[in-house]
Amino acid sequence: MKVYLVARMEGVAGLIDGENWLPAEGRYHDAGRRLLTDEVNAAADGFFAAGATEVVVDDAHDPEGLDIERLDERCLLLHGLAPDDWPRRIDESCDALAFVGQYAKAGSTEAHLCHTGPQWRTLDLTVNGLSVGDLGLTVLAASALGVRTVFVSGDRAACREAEDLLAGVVTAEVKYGSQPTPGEEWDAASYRRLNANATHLSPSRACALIRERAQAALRGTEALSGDQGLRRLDPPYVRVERFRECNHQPSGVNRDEHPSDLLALLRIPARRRPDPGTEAGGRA
Amino acid sequence: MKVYMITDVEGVAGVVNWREFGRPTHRHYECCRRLTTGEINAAVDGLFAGGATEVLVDDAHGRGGIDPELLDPRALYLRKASLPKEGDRRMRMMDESFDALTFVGQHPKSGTEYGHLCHTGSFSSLEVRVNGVAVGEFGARALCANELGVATVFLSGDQAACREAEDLFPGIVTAAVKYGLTPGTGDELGPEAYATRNETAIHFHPRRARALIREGAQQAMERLAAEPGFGRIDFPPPYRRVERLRATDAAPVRETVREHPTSLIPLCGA
Repeated sequence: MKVYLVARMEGVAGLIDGENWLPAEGRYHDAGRRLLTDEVNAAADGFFAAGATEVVVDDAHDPEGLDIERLDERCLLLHGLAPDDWPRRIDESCDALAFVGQYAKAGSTEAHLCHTGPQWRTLDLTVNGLSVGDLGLTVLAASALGVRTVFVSGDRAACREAEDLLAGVVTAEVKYGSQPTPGEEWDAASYRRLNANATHLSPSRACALIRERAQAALRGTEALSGDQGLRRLDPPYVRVERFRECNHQPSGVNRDEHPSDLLALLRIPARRRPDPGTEAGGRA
Repeated sequence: MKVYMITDVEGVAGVVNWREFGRPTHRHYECCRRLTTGEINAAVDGLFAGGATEVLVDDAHGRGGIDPELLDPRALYLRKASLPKEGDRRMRMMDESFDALTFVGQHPKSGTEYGHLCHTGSFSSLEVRVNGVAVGEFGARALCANELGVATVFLSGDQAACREAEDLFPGIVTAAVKYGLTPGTGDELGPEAYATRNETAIHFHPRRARALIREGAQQAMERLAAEPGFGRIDFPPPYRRVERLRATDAAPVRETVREHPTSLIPLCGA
């Protein structure tokens, strides 16, 4: 069984804020890479224990989230995919899709470091009216290819989001945020800080939980049937993205559509997104 | 058996790009040196196990890619500060006293489809041909060694670099430690855009990569001892080397031609 594991960063236990932990120049970026790599190793160990023969780890954090010297040596590391390179390298040879370090979509409540896309600008993104974040977009792409999503670890809001999106998915919740409002009225820089409140499991407890749930998830994969683990949408496809004001550039809406091909729609770059600039916002 | 090893970093598993790994000022440069030296040590170990009595490790990465403190103490470590001047080119520090040439961490030549971090010398080069045969860093150096009677027996790098070696030296032992995922050649790009074009790849873990390399290096030495002519090809003079440089904002594609009646080494012994 081949597992495609998408490694995020913001949903890792012990990863505390956006400023110091996420960017390459952040003071704790290397610590964040260690924490993420340990959680990925825990998931991989669970998958191998459940019969996985191949685990491809897609490092989906820009510039990078994984430390290959620390990675479980049974894993293959996939590095260098652009954010709009859909469907990443997921294909029909993958038996299961999994996420580690997943964060919730922009506008989530009681979420930690929630956002959608590579910036903190997006207020909400929908595909055919279904509100999705970076988890949901990848799930939609995989579902279009018939690849089931079986496991998600991250903060509580990301796990809820996965459960709302997918029947039969197994989750592992490693922290929970406490910010009660969607925060639509805040600018990008403030929005990033707004959602930095959370209560974390210790990294060792988080890894133990992830290992156990990942193993259970893959053990249950063969029993999934029908649309379990899948979220399919019918054509035509419409993507609508609302974004907030940033760097004195106004808020706005992007709308893109495709009559028949969801993946082609996802590949349309969000080129009308105003430039995020450097001072406010910052990269996720 | 005396073995010469040319090492580079772009073909090492875990070296995911040049812009963060390639130079001392880059944030992952120390990691790059650890990963590279680890693969070199695996090769050195395999070579000795296969019958080598001396291994000279030539650090051929632009700014250096080896941590000498981590290097297998049985290896000799060569670091040349700069290349000799035009007209006095040598095949690095190689001579006829060597029995075999090996490569570790090799990347493919410029323009290779599904290659990882491909380039030839720098990202400015579009194509180098010798007597009509497209060659990269591997090809130029292996052909020079061939002229000296030194057999080219082993290469590790990404899968495309391994294919490149097998195409020029059929039967050479290779160890592929990663797989590039970018289709197309990128021939239309200038040096800067090309430098970041081929960064997508699937990497083996360093320990898996080292196991493959050790096994391959040992096998290469055993075959060298057992098979007459192994690692040698027929590539007769005279020689004509044509290099084309990528177009830039300032200049279109440029071509330089060098010829020599008897030896390749003055043309591409770098």
